[in-house]
Order: sequence, then C-alpha cells, then structure tokens
Amino acid sequence: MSIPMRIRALRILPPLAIGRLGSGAEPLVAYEIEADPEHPLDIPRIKGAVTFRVDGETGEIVDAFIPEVVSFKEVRTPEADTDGETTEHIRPVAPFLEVWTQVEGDQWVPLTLEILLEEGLTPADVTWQVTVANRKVARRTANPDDAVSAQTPWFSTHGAQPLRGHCRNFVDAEVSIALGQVQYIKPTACHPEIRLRFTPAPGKIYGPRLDSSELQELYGASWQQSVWTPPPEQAVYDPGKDWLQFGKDDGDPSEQFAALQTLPPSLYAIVPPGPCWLNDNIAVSRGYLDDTCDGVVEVRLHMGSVVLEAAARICSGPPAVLPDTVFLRTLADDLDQVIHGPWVPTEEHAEETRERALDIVRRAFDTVRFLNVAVMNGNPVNGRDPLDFDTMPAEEAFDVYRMMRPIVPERTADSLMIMALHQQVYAALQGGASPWFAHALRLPTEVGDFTDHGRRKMPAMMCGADGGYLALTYRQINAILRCSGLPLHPGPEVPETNPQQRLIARNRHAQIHHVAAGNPFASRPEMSVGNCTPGLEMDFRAVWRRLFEGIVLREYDSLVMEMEPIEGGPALPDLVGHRLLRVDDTNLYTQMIGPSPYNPRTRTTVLGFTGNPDGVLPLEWSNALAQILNQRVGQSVDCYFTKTPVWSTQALFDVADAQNTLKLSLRVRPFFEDGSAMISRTLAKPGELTQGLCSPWQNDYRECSCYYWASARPDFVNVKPNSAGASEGDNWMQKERTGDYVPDDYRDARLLNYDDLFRAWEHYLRFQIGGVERDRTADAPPTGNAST
Amino acid sequence: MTEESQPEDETHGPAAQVPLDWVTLQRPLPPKPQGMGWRDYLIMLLHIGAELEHSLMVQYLYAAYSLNDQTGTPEQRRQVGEWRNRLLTVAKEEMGHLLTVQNLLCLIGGPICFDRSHFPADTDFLPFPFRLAPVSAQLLAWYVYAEAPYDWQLLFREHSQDPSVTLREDIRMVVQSVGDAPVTGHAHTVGQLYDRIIKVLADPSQIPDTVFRPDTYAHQASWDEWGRGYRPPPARPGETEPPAVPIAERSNVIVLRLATRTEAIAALRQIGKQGEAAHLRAANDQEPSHFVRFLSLLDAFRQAASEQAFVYKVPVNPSTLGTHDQPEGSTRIEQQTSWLWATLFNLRYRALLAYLTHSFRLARLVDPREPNVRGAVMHKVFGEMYNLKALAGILVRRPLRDGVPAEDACAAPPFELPYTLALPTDEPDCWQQHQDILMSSLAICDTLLTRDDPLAPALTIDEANYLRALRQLDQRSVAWIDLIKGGLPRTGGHCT
Repeated sequence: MSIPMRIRALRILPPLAIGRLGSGAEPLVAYEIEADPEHPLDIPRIKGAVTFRVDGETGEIVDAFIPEVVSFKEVRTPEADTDGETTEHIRPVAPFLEVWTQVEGDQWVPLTLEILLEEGLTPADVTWQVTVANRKVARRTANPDDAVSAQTPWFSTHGAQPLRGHCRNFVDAEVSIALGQVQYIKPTACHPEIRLRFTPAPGKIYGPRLDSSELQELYGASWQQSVWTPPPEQAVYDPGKDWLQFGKDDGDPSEQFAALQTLPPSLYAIVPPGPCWLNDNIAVSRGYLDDTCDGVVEVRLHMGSVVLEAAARICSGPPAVLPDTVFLRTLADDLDQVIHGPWVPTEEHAEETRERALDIVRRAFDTVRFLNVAVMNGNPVNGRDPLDFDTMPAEEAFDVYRMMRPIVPERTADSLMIMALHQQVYAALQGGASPWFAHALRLPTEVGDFTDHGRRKMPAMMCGADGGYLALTYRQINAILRCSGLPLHPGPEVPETNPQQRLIARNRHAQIHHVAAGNPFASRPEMSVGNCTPGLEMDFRAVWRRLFEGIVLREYDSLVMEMEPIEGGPALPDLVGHRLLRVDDTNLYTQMIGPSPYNPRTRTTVLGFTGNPDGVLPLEWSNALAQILNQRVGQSVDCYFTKTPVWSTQALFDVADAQNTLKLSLRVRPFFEDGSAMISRTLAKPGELTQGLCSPWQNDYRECSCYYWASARPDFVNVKPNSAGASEGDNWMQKERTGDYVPDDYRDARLLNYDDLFRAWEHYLRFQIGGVERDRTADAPPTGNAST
Repeated sequence: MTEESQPEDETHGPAAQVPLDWVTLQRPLPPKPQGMGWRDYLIMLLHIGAELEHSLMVQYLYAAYSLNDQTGTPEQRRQVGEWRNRLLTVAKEEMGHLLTVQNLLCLIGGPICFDRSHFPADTDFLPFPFRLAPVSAQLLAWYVYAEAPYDWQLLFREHSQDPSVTLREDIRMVVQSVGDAPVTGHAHTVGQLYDRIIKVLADPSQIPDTVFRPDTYAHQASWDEWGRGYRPPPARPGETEPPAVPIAERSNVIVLRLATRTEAIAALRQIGKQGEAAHLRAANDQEPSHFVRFLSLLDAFRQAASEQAFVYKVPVNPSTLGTHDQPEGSTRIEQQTSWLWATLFNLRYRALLAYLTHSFRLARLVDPREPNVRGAVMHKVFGEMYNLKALAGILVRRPLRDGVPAEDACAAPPFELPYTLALPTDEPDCWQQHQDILMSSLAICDTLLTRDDPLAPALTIDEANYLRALRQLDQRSVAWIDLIKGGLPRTGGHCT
C-alpha cells in the first residue's frame, strides 16, 4: 500500500520543548515578550498569549483565552477558621507539542481532525509513547541501576499518562518518582489540532529511606534543627545502595572512577557542612534525587500497514525566574550555530545580521542588569577579601594557583554604570552606527587568556562551558564582525552552501524557533542558558559525547570514557582513557596564559602547575567543533588521540611528535535526525541531556554564582543608584530585602542555604519581572528602570 | 624627533620673517614671550599641545565621518570602511595623547585643558588652520605633513637610494600641497611643538624638580580606565613581539601616568614617535605611526578610482550659528531639521567635554578605590563618544539645505564649542550644568520626534529608535543627577 497523497510525513513541533517545575494547580499561561518601542531600554514587556485550558479528565481544550495578567505563582491562604499556613506554588510550564504533517506540494501544516478524517483516519490512529529518565545519580555512581526511568505504553487515549520514574535501587519496585505527566489532547471541532502536553513534576526532592537513628548517625544529634530530609512518601532510595554517602571514602580509587567526576565537581546535596570546596573537599552524598528529567516523545500515525513516525525532545528544569530576560548566549544560539554553521550565511540580508547584532547588545545589558559588577570584578566588599567570594577572578586564581586580580580597575566596576554604557552602545547602533567594538569580543579560542587584555574582553566576568571566560558563539561574534566590515572567524573564507543545504537550514531554523500555540516563552530554547557549566534546563555539553562514531567522550573535556563499536564499522583500538586532542586542523584545547611577572603588560607566560604543566584548557565543543559539524557531517575526519591513556593528565598535541599521537579516522555523526531539528537520539539517550546537572537542581542556585547565568539565576536585584553614584541593591539569595547587598557567603545566615531551598524553594526563589521583584505582571509600574 | 636649532629665549619678530628650512619644510616656532616664567611657559605650551591634539582629533573624526561606505561594490565598501577605520584609529590615539598631556599638566600643577583655540600665542604653533573638511587627497596630504618627522624628506631621499624604493607620487603631492604655507607662516609639524616642550621640560634650570607633583599620580588618567583595549595584545608565551594584527585593526591608545620628569619626557617622546615615526616600510612595522598611516591612506585614496563617490557631500566647517554670527569660511546648516540634529550633536560634544573635565576634578574629590561618581562620569564620557558617532552618521544622511537632496549637499557634525568649557566652582553647580545640557538635549529629542517638517526627509526608523533610546538614557541621567545633588552640600565638593 502506498502512502496516501494527503499525508506524507509527520513532524513534532517544537522539536525541543522545555517544561519547568512547579506545584501550582494551574500551569503557567502562555506569554510572549515584546520590546516597548517608546522605551527601548526597558526590559521587554510580558504579554499574555493564547492560552488553552485543558480538562484533565477528557483531555479536551475547554477554553482558549488571552490572559491580561500573567501570574507565575499561586499563593494559597488557609481557610479563615483553620490554622494552616499560607503556601506558595510556582506554576509549572507545561508545553504543548504539535503534530505537523507534510501534504501535497510539500507544505507542512498542522495535523488536524479534518485531515485525519479526509484520509479515513481517526484520532485513535495516532499513538504516542514518551520515554524520559533522570540519570543524574547514575552519572555519578556509574551504576546503571541508579537511573530513574519512565516510559509510557503506546497510547491513543486522552487521559493523563503519568511518567512514573522507577529505579532498580529504590526500596522496592512499587515506589517511583513522579517525573510529570503527558496527555494526548483530544481534538475537537474548535481545536482540531493533534497535540500532546507535557506537564513536568512539581519539584519534589526524594531521598533515602532512613529512620531517625540512621539520620542522627548521618547528620549528628541536632540534625532536625538544620537538615531538611524528604518526607516518608519521598523517601524512596535504598539506603544500602551507592548514592547515599557516595563520596564518603571516595569510592573506587581507580583513575577510571575519578574520571567520573562532573564539572563542576560534587554537584549534589552533601552532608553538612557545604560546600565541599570550603570544607576539605569532603562531599558525602545525602542520597537526594530530584524529579527533573529529559527524554523523547514519539508519535505514530497508523495508516493501514504504513506507519508514519516523528519524535521530539522534552526536558524539565527549574522555573524561569527572569521570565522576560534573555541570556547573552542561549541554547537557541548554540542550536542555530549547528544549523547555520559558525559563519554568517552569505545570503543573509545585511539588515537581518544587524538585527542579530543589536539583539546581542540588548541581551548584554539585560544580563549586566542582574550582575553585581563590583563584586564579580573582584572588588573587596566592605573591606573583605574578594578571594572569599565566588567570582570568575577568584575561580581563575584557584584554578591556576596564582594571585587574584580584579578584572578592571575597581573604581570603574559598577552595575548601573556598565549597564548604562551598554545601553548607550545599543542606542548608537540603533541610530545606524556600525559596531566599533569587535576587537573587544572574546574569541572562543581566547577563553584561557587570563591577561588583563584577555579577561577584559566581552562578555566579561562570566563563565563558559569550558570553565574559562564566556565567549559567544562564532555565529554571534560573526554577526558583529560582519556589521563591522571585518573578516569572519574561524577560517579565512566562508564556504559556499548549495540551495538544498540552505533550504534544510532554513527549515531547521524554523522548527527550532517554532512557536507552538499555548506555550509560554519560557518553554523555548531561547530561554535556556547556553554554553554553561553545567546548565539549568539541560547540560548541552552532553550532546557532543557521541559525535564521533565509536567513542563516547566525557561531556566537559576530551577524555574517552567508553567505546561503542559500530556494527560494520572499523575496528578501533580501545581508546578508553585516551584524550582526543585534535580533529582535522582544529585543536580541541587552548593553553591558559597569564601576565608574565617579568613584564605583566607586554609578556605572557603559560599558567602551568602540578598536574597540568602545560596549562591545557579543553575547549567547549559547541564552538570548537562548529566548523567540523557544518562541513563534515557524515564524513570521516582525522582524529588525533594521545597514544596512551592519560586519565588525569591534560595533554598537548604536537604535530612533530607522532610517536605520542594516535591518528584515527572517525565518522562524524549527524547532529539532527533526518530533515528535522530534533537532536539525534543516537547522540543522547533519554536522561543524558540532564545527567550532568545538579542533584537536586536546587543545589545549583546555592552553589553556582550568577557568573554562570546572570539572567537565569540573578545575583543583584532591586538595584538603584545611591547618592555616591554607585549601585546598591539586594543579593537575590538574601532572605530579607534590605537594600544592603550581602556578599555570597555560605556561613552567612542572612543568605539562603541548601536546606532552605530544599524545604521551600517555591517561596524563596523570587521572580523578577520588568526588573522588579514580583510574581505577576499586573502590578508592573508603567515604565522605567533605574540607571545612571 | 630631532631638536630644532632655534633658541627659545630669544626675541624674534613676526613668525613669517623666520626663514623656512626648505629641506624639512619647517619654520621655527615662535620663542618664549618676554616676561613669562619658564613653568608658566611650559604650561602654555602644554595647553597648546592639548588644543593641538584636540583639534587634530576632531578634524580626523570629521574626515572619517565624511567617508561613505554605503555605496559601491562590497569590495569598495570594505575598502572605504577600512579607510575610515584608519582615520578613526588615529583619532582615538590622539585622544590618548590629549589625556597624557592632561596628566603632564597635573604633574606640574597646571590647569587641565580640553579647550580649542582661544590662546593668545598658539596660532603659530598649529600645523595648519583648523578646518573641518571632507576627505580628499589634498586634505590627506596636509595630515601627512602635520604628522611628518623633522627629517622626513631627507629620510625619504636616503631610502630612495635603495633601488627597491621609488619616489612616491604621494610624497611629491605632500610637498606640493603644503607648498608655500610654511613660508607664509601657516604651517608647522606637530613634532616641532613637542620638541619645544621636551626641551623646556628637560632643563632643570628652567623647570626645577620642585615643580613636579608626583602626588597627583593617582588622580591622573590611566590606560586601564581610558584605553578600552586599544593597544597591542601582550606577546604569546616565549615570544617578545605581540601577535600580528592587520594594519586596519591595529591601534595603540597611549595614556601614560607620570610621576617624574624622566617619565614625562619619555611619555612625550612616545607620543611623538606614535605621530611621526618615519617607518617608510610600513608593512614590516607592527605599529605604523600616524605619518605612515596617512601616507598609506593618501596612497590608497589616490589610487582608488572615482574617489569622490566614496565621500559624502559634507560642507567645509559646518555651522549652526545664525547668518550674522557665522564665522568666515563656515557653511551654515540651513535645513531646519538637520539644524536640530546638528545642535543635538553640539550639545553632546559639550556634554563630553564637560564630563571629561569633571572626571579630572572628581578624581581629587572622591575615593579613588571604589565605584562612585567619578567612574560614572568617566563611563559617560564614552557614552557621549558613542552619541557623536551615531549623530555624525545621521547628519551626513540629512540635507544641508531645503530643496537639495543630501546626496548633493549634506549636513555634517559641526563640532562647535560652547561659549565656555569652564566648570562652575561648586560641585552642585557642576551637576546642574550637566543636567541643563541633558534637559536641552531632551527638548531637542522631543522636537525631532514630534515635529512635522515637510521640507525634510521623514524621520527614519533608525533615527526614531535612536532618539527614543537617547531620551530614555537622558531621563535616567537627570534623575540620577538629582540623587547625586541631593547627597551634596550646597557648596563645596564630595565627601571622600
């Protein structure tokens, strides 16, 4: 039987949807963000968009409306005559995934009831299966029995399908973690489209099942006063298994086991005191898990003997506490680079490139807005040693065993001053000026340049996926270079693309940026921090692990962790423990350099130290492999490995030293699945795109400073100028808003600690809307953010 | 630099009577006026130096803004964009010179100077009369001359003995362009002035050690704050020279802080070298001097076909002044909307100079170790530079007069100085002055956004977006200044 003419292929859009945790009864309404043309420097306004209300029982959309107010939190007050407490519940982001079909004329249209009926089909001929996992614990323990997995059966009914996450190391096979639910929305005459909704979990923390004596033994006699533990219904993990007290004796002493460490290390709830790096690096796991996940939604359309299929990815992560602010480098930027390559396509209109350049500057000042620039610069805080605070200059000093230095002169480092300067740049560009600051952009190969010349490049004071200073994607940098009339990077020339390649790129771009009806802006990759260490919604580094057939790399550097033989492929030597140093002509690392003590301004020295004498800094894949991925997919490339395993030692590539290098030809896997913009299932299995993140995710907010993701995890809020001309405000992690910034200090009781977040994260994590602290849009003042 | 032979302390007659050195095309500078002390004389020379750097910077900027990279083939646009970048690079470096001269003034306890003209004895020191003009081969030839080293012709002749070097047409053109100007007393090279300053400064009998105030070092402008990354990167490990950078992207803004006589002399020599070093083989040199940059630009410009197609039809010495007040040789911007834009430009130019002056004063008043008003004002200086850049770009796309399209005669940035650059004595009044400028700017923005001028091209989207953003920034600055003023005593300065 041939495929009917009407329906030729299926696709799920968007190919990647982000759910966000929350225990609110109602999901977050749909919204968009839009700039106010009269006040172009204000944070974009949140504007309600078409929102669907779904009947939980029938799966039908019973109402479609545009909300006037967008409320991110529900506050439940107790009945008048009860003595209950007011509770706060963040509304989950529950995205819809739409099924589109290719019909005659190669048009892609939403698959609807009408099209199905025309083909003699019914909604029951559409079946779904969803597979998700939380592999955070398994990532650390290297024990597959610690993976939490959920898979629905193939279903075509419209009731909610729970995603019950089971794990072999739970106390028994019956208990599970609720990883959320999916629901096949019942198409109706009013809403005939075929779609599925993913509702993520409420954001609970799970842990080991321990009695009070065991808890006392673990945490000490007064544990109840300081330590939050999961309630009995969330105590699901078998305390006899690896995760509880993981790290107590550092486990297996082998190099292989040590190599399992994540970057940053010890990203999990530990037995106090925390964090481990301030406490002799002791990181004993409490055995906690969260209810985030990532995975795959598959849909099938049964047309007699023919079955059409499509798939998309979903993941769940923390709430977008800055729902109107877009980070400087997002997941969408990285995906766009995969689609279009690192260069600016020659056919891209100059005005479009200019708009992209403007957008980068706009996002820059929106990001600066939430950074305490003085602190992040390494200024002393009220006379206290800046080395005591978690900043990039401090990290840099720790990493290379050198003295700490502020990045720019202390007196010039101020949030509102720097933000206003960026806004002035934006204004000038708006007026038609060409960018003049291209020389100040950090190239991806310069992330290890710790001279003042290197550290002051833009973006400043933030961290990238390689642990060096953040760089934009090549594609972003090139947008600015092109507007400046300067040559693009990397490579001397932009390669030509053929019309077919351009069409595929345009289609994939459209898919990635598809706006599905009913979805909040926060469900899109544009709202997911990109190139981070490790990330919030997704650890994008994980996607590169299997890019080369036959090997699996560690997500954050070039260490080969596993061999995955390819059926019919070439037999490869065992490369486990070797490092991939170079692909074709591209080195996958840089060297950390810093000012020479002999002449700090004009000379440099390699920042080597014991364990890394050559100061090798592996580069993040997204930029390092951008050219390879654009030009060599499906082809074999020359991969240069260390000759022998070098588990814990970084290595340099020396083209003249063939004796210590192993050259192999490996094929580059496609990044996306055929024709679609879905990240290939071969590259990452369910759970692998989130496995490098914190367990539980709340730790991220306590441990990672804003220099990783200032516009997703703000640092400086309620900022206003003081009469001395500098900025003042609150630390977002401050329990009480006083206007007096409390620098990050794990021992300072004025700041949230781990257990505060475990206990009441929905209360403590405060939304910032329009640059103002509130959890709904209605109270917004008309305009105006303080600035110099 | 080579020291001129003319003694400074002798009385001479009118400058035009001083014989011209036909080898160098240089005419000796006027001597120190009788009755003037050496320190006072040095301060005067430094003021002239500051004016000179300021004047050159503005003229180079004007020339850069006159280049049109929006027309022609992509390669031509790239080429013109590169020319503009070269001019802008020199202008940026002149800004560094200007700041270093201010630092030297601080070091010897003189008043800083961001003014232009108004000096009794400066005319004979300037390379050529101040003139805002579009790029032309003739103009570039003058720039080459202004930045030329003392012995540039001799040097060229020496090089020309090398068969690989031939006498270049552009060199001939420079000679022809400046022609009789030095004879008639209207031309000097920049280096001559710095030679004179160094000679005075270097002589302890004229400028004793007690003149120097090393305690001002912390208040002086530093490259870290003002350089904005414009200098060669440090050498890679194991190397001694910085990585090679394309000539168009090279710049080195020299802002030096000074504590001693030796440092001051070294700084002036460095500035001089950046201006006039005669590296005739520019391709081999990592940091071409201004002289070499202009020479190569002149060469490129003359070789380009239909050079005039790449230059906006900007006027000579544009002016916003009324017909009666209009200086001789200036061109009035007559079109009313263009005039408003030009007036806005002048306001922002004034704001820049006022913030710049204020930043030096604030350096003495506030804690130098932490962010405060001084840092904010410094950032505002850069903000105003960006405004000038945007406004200049808008002006050259607007008509000069009614009924004539901008393609045939366009407006241009007038760079007109206000009636005074002096700051009020008390801090609250300084802030009030900043606020007054902002309020005037806001009024113009509102007018431009709302007025209906049937004789002018409609406001473009870019122009409207710029005005709205600028208005928002200014509104915030006005509110911010209110806050600053509220924290000040009615008279006097900031508390440290």
